[in-house]
Amino acid sequence: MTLNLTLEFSGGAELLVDKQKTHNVQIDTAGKTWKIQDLLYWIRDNLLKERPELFLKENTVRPGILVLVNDSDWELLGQLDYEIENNDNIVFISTLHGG
Amino acid sequence: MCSLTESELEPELVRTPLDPSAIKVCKKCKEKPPCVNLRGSDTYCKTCFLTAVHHKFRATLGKHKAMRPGESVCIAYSGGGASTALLHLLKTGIESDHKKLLFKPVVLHVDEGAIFKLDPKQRIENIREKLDYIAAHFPFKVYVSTLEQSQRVVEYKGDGELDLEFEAERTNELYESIENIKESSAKEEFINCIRRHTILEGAEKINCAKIFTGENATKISIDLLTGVSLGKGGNLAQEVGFWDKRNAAITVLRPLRDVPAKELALYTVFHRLESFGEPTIGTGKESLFSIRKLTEDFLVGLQNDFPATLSTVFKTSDKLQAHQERMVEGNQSCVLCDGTLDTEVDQHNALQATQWSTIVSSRGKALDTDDLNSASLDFLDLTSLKL
Repeated sequence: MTLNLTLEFSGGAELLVDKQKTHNVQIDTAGKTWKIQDLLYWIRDNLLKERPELFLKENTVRPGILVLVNDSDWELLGQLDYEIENNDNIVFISTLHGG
Repeated sequence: MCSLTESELEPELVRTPLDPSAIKVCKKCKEKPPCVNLRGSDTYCKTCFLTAVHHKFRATLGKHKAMRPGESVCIAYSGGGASTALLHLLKTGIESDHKKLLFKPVVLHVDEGAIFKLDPKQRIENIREKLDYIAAHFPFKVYVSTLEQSQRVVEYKGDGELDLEFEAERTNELYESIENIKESSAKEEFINCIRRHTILEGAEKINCAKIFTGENATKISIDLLTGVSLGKGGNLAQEVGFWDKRNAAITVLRPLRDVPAKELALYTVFHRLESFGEPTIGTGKESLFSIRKLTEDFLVGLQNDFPATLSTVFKTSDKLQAHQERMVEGNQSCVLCDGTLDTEVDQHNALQATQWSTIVSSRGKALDTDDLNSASLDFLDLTSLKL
């Protein structure tokens, strides 16, 4: 199964992924259902150009980074256990860099 | 960490993950499905949430009776998410039919490229990107100045023409000054002071007696704890309060101070606002880079597990009051931060505490307790500290 996803990074998080705010990705999950947990590892291995510890802490996002799936707070969707669907839009916003 | 604060004693303070199947409707309108979760368990739909943020902004302005109709106010725009959200909130307030905001915002952007000695062409490009965005989306006049040349404030008319030139000498001077400060915490605070001065000078040049800055509740809480660690007790009321009246002519206001960073970030995303965050000296650095960074990591990390953390710290900031003696004629103020001087107060001030720490930690076993008498604690003699 291939997942087509739009990943957005903002609020300073884009500095971790080559300053690119939007990433359209196709992921081959080899038939498995992917949860956000799996996506985080994928991002760490494929998109994070530097300092993975600024994005991930242990197995989840660092405190201060918000995750939205299709404009919904991931806390309402089960956080790491949310099962990703094709064409999902996932946004990672850092609230730490201020403005 | 003291075991008395462990969750066994106060389980209701610990964040419990929400059970997705248990949430059905927005807490406010009770009709639409929720899309945000605030403060651990309050769920709201998009419309109710956005309205609430706007209300919080209006309420903060209203309860302090901050503005008069027709007044010009300088909006300090950094390019980051909070600044952009502030502009959007202002635009919404000004264009609303009901209880329209009647003052006149004017945008000021201060370019900080000098800190990293960025290539001038790159700086112009960065600036133009931000100014074009504002000109395209907001009905406000836009001005720009730079950290190293705070007297030069240039208006941007949105036509691509930017009459801004960087004087290499001034840029280098600022860059060297910052580089010469070895300690990162001091560097950060120095830059903050320079930035504040630049914004004040800019506001004066464009004839505004008031400035809005985009500090949110989370930042205020971090500023509060950091300020205590840095020995800034005397200034804290002005730095974390709604009003900052350290400058006699121009007042700084913080209308977003009641909005937590999470809510502001969500506001920015839902309204599809663009932000252009520029790296600062602390960006991408580890926690131990500076006192501020460490405090930030501590508070934000704690907030994750205990959702009442930031609001508790924040409520403390509300209780701080500025020293009334501030406005007395002839009372000198600090050149860097405009705070009231407090270094010659007899009884125990922050400077004495710093002196004490410096002497004790640098002498170590060679410490002669005679050195710790009050005469030497008041006297700043650096040579005596050499081992």
